[in-house]
Amino acid sequence: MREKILEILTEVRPDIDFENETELVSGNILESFDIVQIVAELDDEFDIEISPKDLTAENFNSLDALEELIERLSGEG
Amino acid sequence: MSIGLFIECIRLWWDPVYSTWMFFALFLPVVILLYTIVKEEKRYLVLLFSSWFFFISLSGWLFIIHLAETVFTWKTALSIQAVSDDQSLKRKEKSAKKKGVLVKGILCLIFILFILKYLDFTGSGIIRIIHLLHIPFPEWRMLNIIAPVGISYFTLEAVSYLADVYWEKTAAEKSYSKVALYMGFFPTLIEGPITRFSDIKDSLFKGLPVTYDNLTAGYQRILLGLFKKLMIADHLAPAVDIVYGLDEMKGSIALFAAIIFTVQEYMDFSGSIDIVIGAARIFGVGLKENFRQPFFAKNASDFWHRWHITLGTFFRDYVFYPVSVSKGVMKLSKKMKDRFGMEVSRLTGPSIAIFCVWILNGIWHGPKWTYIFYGLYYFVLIFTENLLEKPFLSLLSRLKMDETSVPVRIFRSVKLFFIVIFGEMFFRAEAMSQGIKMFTLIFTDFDPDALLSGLGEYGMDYHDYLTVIVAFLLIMLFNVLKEKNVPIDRKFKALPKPVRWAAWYVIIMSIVVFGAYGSGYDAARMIYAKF
Repeated sequence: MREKILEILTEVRPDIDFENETELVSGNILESFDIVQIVAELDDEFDIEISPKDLTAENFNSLDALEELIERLSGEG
Repeated sequence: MSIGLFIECIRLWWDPVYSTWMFFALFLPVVILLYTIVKEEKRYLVLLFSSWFFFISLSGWLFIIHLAETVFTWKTALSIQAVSDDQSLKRKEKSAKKKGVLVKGILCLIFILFILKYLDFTGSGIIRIIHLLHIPFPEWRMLNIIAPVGISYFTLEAVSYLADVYWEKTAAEKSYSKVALYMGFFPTLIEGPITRFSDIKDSLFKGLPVTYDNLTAGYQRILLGLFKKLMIADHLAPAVDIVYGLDEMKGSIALFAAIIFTVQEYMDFSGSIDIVIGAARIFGVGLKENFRQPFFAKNASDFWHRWHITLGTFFRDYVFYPVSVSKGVMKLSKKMKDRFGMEVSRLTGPSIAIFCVWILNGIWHGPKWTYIFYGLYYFVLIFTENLLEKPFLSLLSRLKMDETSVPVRIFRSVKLFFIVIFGEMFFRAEAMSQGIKMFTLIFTDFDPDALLSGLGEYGMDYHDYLTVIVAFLLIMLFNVLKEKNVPIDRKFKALPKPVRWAAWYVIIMSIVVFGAYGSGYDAARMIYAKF
């Protein structure tokens, strides 16, 4: 799962070191346009539904946080 | 004495708008005193009653509308919470029921705002269209409804609170007084910043003691705000009014008008926000910053990450994201992907959402075509920037340059300067026709001599210009240091006491001596208070 998420993230923003960055949103590294593209790809890939409620800095600040979010949403589904 | 007469007496005598001495030298000290002598757990009530007094003194009987909205928001949030907590409901049923309460709640709040602020604009607009279609119809009778102060701000705060309770980001507050204080906290009432319940609740309701640190830091921030407002914004205000009121002008004067209005607006709004943040800080309430050196932005999108930040983040969280990830928009994006490929699909959702954001941003500022144009202007610019960003970067790499190289930075700064100036030119214009006329004159009849020979006729003399220029350069220097992350506060505190005191005396005396007071000036007027 982690590799797939990384692939999606890198496809949207190849210039970011997603493995090590931990302030993707609070550090203003990811733009809101990027986040929407990432959500669309993740929804598609993992058959989940990321809602506006989940679009918080805590969920999108790092690769680890995103992995956790997807695991949680997959479990809910 | 009847209550009505009492309210009118308060209104006539009292004028506690943030930049007047009545606010920071009389109202604020009295509130601090009352707040300090009351028990910790009841201090939020002092803030609530002070806020209501403040509200009544500005809007009189219209306070009733605010009161009704606070009761409505409090009750609606509790209803949403009750559905969330109802274990007997199935997931889908719960979700639909919750959504129903939320949508009804938000629609009611928007409906009240619409009636109070937009009814005349919409009614007369519809009738104009009917007349254009040559259908006989009576003229719209203007109702000229007056809205209570800050309604555009506290409506957004109410919407964000209901949405956050719906998304379970925060629990609904049981105490009515606390919800009323959140929506009516006097420092944020007139011009924001737009607060979120979850961000502010702990410090606002706790009744934290007024500490020496908070008191001094708060009043220092208020001084900074007064400096911006009285030394720059209020000096420029008469000149802006005169230049925009000219029947005939040259392009150079039109450009001058747009530049001085942009400076006036920035200093007025960010100065007022400094006063607001300072006043809240005294009570231990930390408000979000609303400005972050906007003129150092790299493009229009970045500018809006630094200018009126809390409005931008409101629209991002409660319009942009919900629209972008809504089922309908997601489905459309997928269809676009199948039909036109990845690149088009990637832009579909955000483009629809960003259009909604900017049209609402324009409308939020008020019922005027110039504001709607202003919103659409930024929509087009930000959309184009997103479209051209990748080709621009690849062009740079072909030219062996990057974003940090000097020519690129100069190009971006000049571009942003004109984007902001032209946007503000329309924003301040009385009507679209005036904005278009001024814009056209810059390119068709510039005539720099007309500006130079007329500088003395715009209500400002040599001393006013000098005061504004020196004060502006000082604020810009302060902004450069902030942009470079220089710890100004720490460095200032490390200075010897006599030097610090001398600096504060210089600032206070400059405001007293050079600030814009007296006839012709209106220190109470705040540009963003009318929105």
